[in-house]
Amino acid sequence: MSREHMRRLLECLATVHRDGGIDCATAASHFTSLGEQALNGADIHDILPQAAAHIAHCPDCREEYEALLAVLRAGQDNADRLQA
Amino acid sequence: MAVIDRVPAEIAGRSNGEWLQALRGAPGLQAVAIQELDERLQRSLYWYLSRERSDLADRPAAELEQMAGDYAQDAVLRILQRLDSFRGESRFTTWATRIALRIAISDLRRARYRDFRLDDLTADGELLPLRDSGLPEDDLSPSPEGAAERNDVQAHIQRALNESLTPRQRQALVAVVLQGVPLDVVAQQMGSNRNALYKLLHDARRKLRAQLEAQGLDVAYMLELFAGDS
Repeated sequence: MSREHMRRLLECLATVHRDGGIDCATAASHFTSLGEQALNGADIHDILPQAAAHIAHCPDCREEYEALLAVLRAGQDNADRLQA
Repeated sequence: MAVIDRVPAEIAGRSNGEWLQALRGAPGLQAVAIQELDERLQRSLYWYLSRERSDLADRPAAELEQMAGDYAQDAVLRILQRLDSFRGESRFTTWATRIALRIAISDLRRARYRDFRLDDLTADGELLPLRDSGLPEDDLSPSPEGAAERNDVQAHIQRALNESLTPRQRQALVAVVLQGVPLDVVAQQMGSNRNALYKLLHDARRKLRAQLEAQGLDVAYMLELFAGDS
């Protein structure tokens, strides 16, 4: 194993007790409401800490949540531009 | 017609109730709502594919438009099938966008890893070097005193991987954690699903950590040992 592989493995062991304890489907069911609240400036760790922790530690869920957030932000930017 | 390169703004649009009513409504009303939803999703998807996906940067705009159109079409069908599952916890369009993005991201993952074979990763419990991993070759040799300690720790970890994990857990851990293969892709090849794979990985991580700690190996200490340049 390369050093990078070792580092990845050890990092995933270090965070095993902090990944929220919920599965992907449960976390994903909150993406839309979390995304909208994050867009309004809320910290998702304050709203749903378990889902926030899952997003932080699950690469697939993180990619999907961040994609949604990026699209919502772009839509908001467009709305701001049209209303300006 | 070119897709407008802006995510639709949510200004004076339909309410959630209006979306649901229109999409469930009489054929004429429904057709208009479906068309509107399809166009919204196409625009959002095109923006995502063209602005957020560096791996698609070399694709011509026409190809991205086609992809956005195909994904939007799939998404509309899925949304219509799932209207009853919309719980109203967000705007309807946010919910629809999430479904569309999930379809696009899942397809892009499958395409990126279409040549990936889970069986290539392991043989007799050993970790094999991977093709196209993008990672440097083993770099544990410098710094003599650190190298000896790292080699010792690595041997413990390799043993723990082989002794404390099932072959399935080991295979999943190597693919997802070491190689960064998406859970969706690994789950599909394991004949499983993402939820089950996530739990399998969680259990594997707990077992591995417990085994190492039982040998007096602290994870934070080991992480420090393998971090940095020395």
